[in-house]
Parts: sequence; structure tokens; C-alpha cells
Amino acid sequence: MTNWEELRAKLRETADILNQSEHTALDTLEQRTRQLARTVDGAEAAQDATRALTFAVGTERYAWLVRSVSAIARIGRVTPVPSAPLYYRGVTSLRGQVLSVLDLRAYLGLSPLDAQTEFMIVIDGAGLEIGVLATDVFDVMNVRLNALTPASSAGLDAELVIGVTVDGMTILDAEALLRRERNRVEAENETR
Amino acid sequence: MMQPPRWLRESPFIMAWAAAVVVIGVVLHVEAGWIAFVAALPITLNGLWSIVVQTPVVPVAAPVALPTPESTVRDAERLRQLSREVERAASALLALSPQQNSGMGEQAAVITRATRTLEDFNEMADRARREAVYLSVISRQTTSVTQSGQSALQQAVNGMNQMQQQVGEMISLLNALARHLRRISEINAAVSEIATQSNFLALNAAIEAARAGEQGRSFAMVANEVRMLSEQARDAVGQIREVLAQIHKAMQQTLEATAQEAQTVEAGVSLTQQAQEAIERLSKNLGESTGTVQKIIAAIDHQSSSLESLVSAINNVGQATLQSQAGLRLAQNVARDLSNLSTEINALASNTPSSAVRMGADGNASN
Repeated sequence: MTNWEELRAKLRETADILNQSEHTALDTLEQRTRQLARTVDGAEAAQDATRALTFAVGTERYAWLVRSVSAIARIGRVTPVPSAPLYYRGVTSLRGQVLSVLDLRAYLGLSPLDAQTEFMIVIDGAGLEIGVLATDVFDVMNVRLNALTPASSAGLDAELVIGVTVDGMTILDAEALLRRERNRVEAENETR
Repeated sequence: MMQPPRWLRESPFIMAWAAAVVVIGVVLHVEAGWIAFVAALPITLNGLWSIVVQTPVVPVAAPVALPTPESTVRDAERLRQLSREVERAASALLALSPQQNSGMGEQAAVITRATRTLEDFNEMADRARREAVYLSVISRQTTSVTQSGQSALQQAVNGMNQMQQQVGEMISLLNALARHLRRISEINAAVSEIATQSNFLALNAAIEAARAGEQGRSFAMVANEVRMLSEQARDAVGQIREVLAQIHKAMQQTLEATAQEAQTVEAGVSLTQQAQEAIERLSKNLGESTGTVQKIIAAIDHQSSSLESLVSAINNVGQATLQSQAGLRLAQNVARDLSNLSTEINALASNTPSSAVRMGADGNASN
């Protein structure tokens, strides 16, 4: 036999939760605002501390130092460029600026990313700005540069790696990559 | 000398007459005693005539010469002959009587059997009538039961129609729920998109803050909080999506159950209608059979009254037979008396002519 009373009671409870949820959300927001308004304790900022942005390309996870990252965006339409290297996907437009799009996996000698890759992390340095494809973008985390292990443990081109964190996260050197690219482009320009 | 009429003297004729009367009487079932009596009457008369009129030689009217011995002998001879005739008639009558008597007995037995059979038959008819009356009472009761059954079925049909209506309402409510569910899913998708965008925005803010260095430190925290919020929003959206999927599944199950219920109700309605039709047919048949039973009762009543009159008629016949038997016994007695009488006459006549003379003298003296 159906317990109609129980059912009615549950529905009433649901209605109460629906009415309360708005106030609860507002309370939470206010609480957080107050917390954020606190003055930052100077002790928290260590000398060698910097921040890194973690992301994924396929199954691999890497991080850029935040100082090399200028933006994160959903990727728009990519227009292929003829006679470019394999890792070079083409060009796209971000906020009115034309950017080259690079497949990091292909660049590192892994299998290329598929066409459905959603995100793009814009890195800048060495007078160059490039969009790097990312399957996912996770977090901005604190990194102690002194605590990094040497690049050799990453199993990658040592020039491109800043170091590996205690968590096993490889921090790539965006500036090195950009420098190489600029050199390559300049070399190409010279050969023409 | 006076003579009896010629027809009376002709004894073969008389015998034939008597026999004919007896036969006709038996055939017509007329009381046998009277037949015997009527049949014997002429014979008796003939004999008596001979005795009374002939024998005394009527010397009364006028004195006549004394009878000669010759004439006396002749008269005695004649008397003997007459007495023999009376004897013959009486014995014929006596011989006839047992035959007649046994015939009567058989007749009485047959009538008794017939009466008994008829009574049995009447009893059977009475039983049949009682059965028929019982049947008619039962069929009346069945009619009332059928009527209550019909009204119950009508109520069931009404209930089922109401159920059908309710099922229809439930289906339309489910449709409304499905619309709401779809709307919520759309809103949830929009919220999910906003959460994703917020996350992006927060990440970008965090990067900007990091690039701003020491000045962007506070801003970095704000950006971090926004990012956390957006992540929470994304989690909430995911949970909502799961719950919505569950609701969707439950609604589908409800819809299927309701559709099944609707089908069951429909089947129930059609079954109930069939039952109603069957009961209607049954009721009609019952009415017809009740009418037939009434007719049977009327027929049995009619037959019963006919049987009663038949029984009473047979009883009358039986009564008549019994009376005939009594009459026959009377006739037998009469015949026996006649026989005795004839013996006596014979004895008288057998005396010698002298005795005949004496007798004649006695007769004169007595006159």
C-alpha cells in the first residue's frame, strides 16, 4: 500500500528546501566576501614561491609558470597554414589578435591531439605569443622553485623543462619553447 | 282348459330370450341380478303357469267331468316335462352365474388396478406440479439476484470509467511534468555553461593576478575564490543532472505503469460489459423459462382435474360392478330356489296317476 502521508511530507520538505536555498546561498556568498576582505599576511608569501597553471594534453599532465601565461580561452576556428611543421595546427583569432596554434603533444614527439580539443592556453615570451592546445585546464598552484627536482627525470628534452614538483608534475619552460620557435621562424625567414 | 300363451310355452324361445338378455346385460354392464331375474322370469312364469293353471285342471269355472285316468296321466306327464324344463332353465342359469361371477371379479380387479394406476398417476402429477411451483419460485429468486448482479456490474463499469478518466488526468499531469523536467534540464545546461565560463574567468583572473606580482596578490585570492565557486557550481550542476536523470527514469516508469493500468482498465471495462451482456441474456432466458414453467403448471392443473373426474367415473363403474355382483348372487339364489321348486314339482308329478287323481281331488277339496 502506498504511504501517501510520507510522500506528502517529503514534498513539503522539498518545497521548504527550495525556499531556503536562496537565503543559504546569499549567506555563503557574504561569508566568503568577508573572508576575502581580510588583509593578506606577509608571512604567507615566500621568496622563492611562484605559481603554475596545470593542464592536460591528452593523458599527459603538465604545467606552465603563470608568468608565461597571458590567457586561457576556448578555442575558436583554426585555419590551417600550408607548408608548416606537423605540430603547427594553423592560426586562430583571439580578441581580435591572430595567434599561431601549437599541438604540444606533437611538438614533444607524442601522438597528435584530436580535432575536438577544446581549450587553448596563450603563452608569451621572447617577443612571441602562441596558443597551445589543451584538453583540460585545471588549476593555478603554488610552486617552490627550490623544491623542484632536475629536468632529467621528466624524460623530455631537458631544455624545455624547468623541473618536476614533489607531486610529479612536470613544469615546462614556455620561454624556452617560444625562443626556439622564434629562432626557427627567423631561420626560415633568412633562408627565403 | 286354459293354456299359457304360445310364446310362453315355447321354452327354446324363452331360453334364447333369457340368454340374449343376459348377454346384452353383460355387454352393457347392466346389473347382473336384474338381468338374471328378468331372464328367469318367463321360465318361472311358464312353470308357475303350468302348475297353477294347468295342474288343477280348473274345475272352478264349471263343474266338469272328473278327469279320466288317461287325462290325469297325460297331465302328470306334462307336469314332469314342465318341471324338467324349469330344472333345465334353473341349471342353465346356475351354470351361467359362476361364469358371469368370475367375469365380474376380473372386471372389479381391473377397475381396482386402473383406479390405483390413476391414483399413482395423479400423485405423480401432483409431485410434478410441486416441482414446477418450486422451479418457478427459484426462477423468481434468480431474477432478483440477476438484477442485483446487473446493478453491481453497472457500478463496476462506472468505477472503471472513473478510473479511466483518472488515468487520463495522470497522463496529462505526467506530460506537464515532462515539460517541466525538460525546462529544468535546459536551465541546468545553461548553469553548467555559466559555471564553466566562470571557471575560465577565474583562471584568467588568477593568471592576471600572478602576473601583477605582489600587487596582484589579493586579487589572486579573489580569483581563486571565484574559481572555487565556479567549481562548486559545476559540481552542483552535475548532481542536478544526475537527479534529473533519475527523475526522468522514474517518470518513464510511471508513464509505462500508467499506460499498463489504462490497458488493464480498458480490458476490465470490456470484460465487465461482456459479463453484463451475458447476465442480460441469462435474465431473458430465465423470463422465458419462468413463463414455460407457468404453462406447465397450468397444464398439470388441467390434467389433474381431468384425472380426478376419470377416477371418480371409474369408481362409479366399480361401485356398479359390486352392485351387479350382489344382484348376481340374488339371481343365483332365485335359480337355486327355482331348482328346488322344480324338484318338488317333479316329485309331486312322479306320483302315480292315482296319486294324481288324489291330487286332483285334493285340489277340488281345497277349492
